[in-house]
Amino acid sequence: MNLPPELVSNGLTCRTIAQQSSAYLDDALPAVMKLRMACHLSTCQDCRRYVRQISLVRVALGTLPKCQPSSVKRRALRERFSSRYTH
Amino acid sequence: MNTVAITNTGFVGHAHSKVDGSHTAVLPNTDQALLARLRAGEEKAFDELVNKHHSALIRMAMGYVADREVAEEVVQDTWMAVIENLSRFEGRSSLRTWIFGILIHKAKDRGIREKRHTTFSAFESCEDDNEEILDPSRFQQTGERAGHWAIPPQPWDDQTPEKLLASQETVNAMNNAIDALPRTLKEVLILRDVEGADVKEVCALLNITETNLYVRLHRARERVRAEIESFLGKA
Repeated sequence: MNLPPELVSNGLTCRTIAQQSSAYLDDALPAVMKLRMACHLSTCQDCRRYVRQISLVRVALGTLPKCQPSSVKRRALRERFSSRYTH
Repeated sequence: MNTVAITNTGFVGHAHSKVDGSHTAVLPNTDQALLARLRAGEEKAFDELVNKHHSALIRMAMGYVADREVAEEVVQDTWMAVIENLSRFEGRSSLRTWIFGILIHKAKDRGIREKRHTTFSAFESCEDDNEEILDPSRFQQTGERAGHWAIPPQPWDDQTPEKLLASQETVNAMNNAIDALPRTLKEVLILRDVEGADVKEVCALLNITETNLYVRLHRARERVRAEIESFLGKA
């Protein structure tokens, strides 16, 4: 029986790839593991898709719209800052 | 318990120990420039600092206290403490680490006072850490394909961060996913992905190992991803 390439290439399962994908994207894995993951990803479209989605989430989180203090709270902060540091 | 003193006596992260036991401050250049402007009383510099971190501070505080209103009070108190103590900030950590350390300290105190959490130790280290990161049913359980996808991720290959953020519904889905995270996952996600803090900075601030960080970080990212997947699947 012919197994899919991802099963025979390096012994990593898709579950392992998914679990390690954040460390992989942060380049935080040992070189050997990184290489094994890259090998798996080169043959497994579903894992490529998953890692890409985690990467996309990571980038999107960094650019989410930000909230700011209310005008009343902002004014109070500015007043305190000015009284403390304006010489 | 991890607490960071407002006076920055807690040694966090980026400084180097000398043989005599003292520490040299190694503050990023951007922090040094900002700190100089702040200490010179430049209001615009303070506004920049608030604009940069306020949103993430609110999200962090929400992990410790009952509601948004209380979180805003805690963050306001944090900013006031930052103003009061800027002159004593010694640069033993980044400004961000120092500010978030103050926030965590104040939010924990407020949370305890509200009796929402009687002890933090029960929540600190093991919350969720031993659970599966992904729903196990998404993978084959038995046979030659055990451990490989049974329900693969839904394709949203045409999505980009810009497209995701252009849709208010998707932004809401992401915000809801963040709000629903347990505190230990939320604080890692906020510091690392929302704030962009480096791994060593996050580990030092939260007093966790790099291994713990990646377990929590990936669990948090996966929950946000799953929320987007669910939303896009319905759309």
